[in-house]
Formats: sequence, C-alpha cells, structure tokens
Amino acid sequence: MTALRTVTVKATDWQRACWEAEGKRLGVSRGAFMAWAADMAIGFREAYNKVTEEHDREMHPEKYKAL
Amino acid sequence: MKVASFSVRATMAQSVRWKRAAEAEGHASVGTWLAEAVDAHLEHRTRAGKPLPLFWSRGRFRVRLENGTAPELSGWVARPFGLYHGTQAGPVPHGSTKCHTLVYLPDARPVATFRYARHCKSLASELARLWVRWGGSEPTEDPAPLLQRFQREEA
Repeated sequence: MTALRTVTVKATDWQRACWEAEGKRLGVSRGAFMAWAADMAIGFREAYNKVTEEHDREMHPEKYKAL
Repeated sequence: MKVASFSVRATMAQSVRWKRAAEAEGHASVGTWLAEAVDAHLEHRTRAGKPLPLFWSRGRFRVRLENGTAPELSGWVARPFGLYHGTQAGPVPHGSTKCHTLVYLPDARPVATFRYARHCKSLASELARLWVRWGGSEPTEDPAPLLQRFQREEA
C-alpha cells in the first residue's frame, strides 16, 4: 500500500469554490484536482526549463563547451 | 477576508516533489505553493477565454427585492451566485411563468432576470470568469455590456 501524506492548505471561500467546481467538471474531488494541478505545474516547469536550456545550448554553444 | 484550512492527500513521491518545488520557488510551506499552483492553472484557463464552470446545487439564500424586503428564498446555489424561480419583485409560485433571476449572494443583489435558468447559469459562468481575473473580488469595470449581450441573445 502506498504511504500517504497530507498537506494543509489555507484558502479563501472563493478559492475553495473555484477548485471544487473545477474538480466537479473533471469528475474528481477537490483534493484530487489540486494534486493533479500541482503535478502538472511541476511538469510544465520542468518541460519549460528543458526546452529553454536546449534552445540556449543551440544559440550559445560556447557557453557550454567548458562544462 | 475569511480563510479556512483543509488537507490534501498526496503520495510520498508527490509530497517530496511538491516540497522541492515549494523550496525552489521560495515558499515557506508546501500549502502556499500548492494554492498558488492551482490558482495559476485556473487563471491560465480563464485567460484562454473559457467561461468558468460552476457547480450548482439546491440551497436557500437571502435576496433584496424591489419592495425593500430581503426574504430567504430557495433555489440553486453556485457561490458566489444563486438563482431562483421569479423576478426581482419576488418569487413566482409553481406554474409555467418563465422567469429566473440570478443573484449575487455576498450582498444579496439580483443581477438579471431571464426566461430560462440556463441563461442565468451561463451569465454566472461569464461573470465568474471576469471576477477570477480580479482575484475573486467584484471588478470595478461595468458588467452592463455583458448583461446587455445576454439580454439581446435571449430576445
């Protein structure tokens, strides 16, 4: 069985309502939607960093020669 | 501003990933990072121009009517909006009269009356999209053009 952790989040009524509505739209609970959105945020950030670095390597190969 | 706490369950791997991301982005706790990440996701959807989907359920709420009274009426609620069967003069008893009124719940103010409940829900989604852009507070910009567009479309 996978070990579970709980993360405490403070939110306004408005935030909770928005997250709840989006979770319902996707057919999952508010918590499941938040966990999914958090994983997506990390995935997007990693993809952005990777593509940015690749682009930088192509544009400025001299910077990376010494590495 | 009223703030409440609740818990989100995560696997150990997720918890570690989130903690690392929160530290990298300078957040004092994983909770604040998580709230910001989810809000950013919704804001991205909002900027894409899609109306914000609202979840409607049966409920009771107070409405300031034209005659100055503020009775509690039953209808449908998707905070911060409510909708009831009736006009801004008051609720319509059971019957075939097609009048539904959208209410802004924080100040119990009727926003608009339409023939069909689906038009009220659609307007609420559009207004919610505008108001998310303003951090959940009512925008200072005039919502009249949006209301007029909905009334034209209904006519």
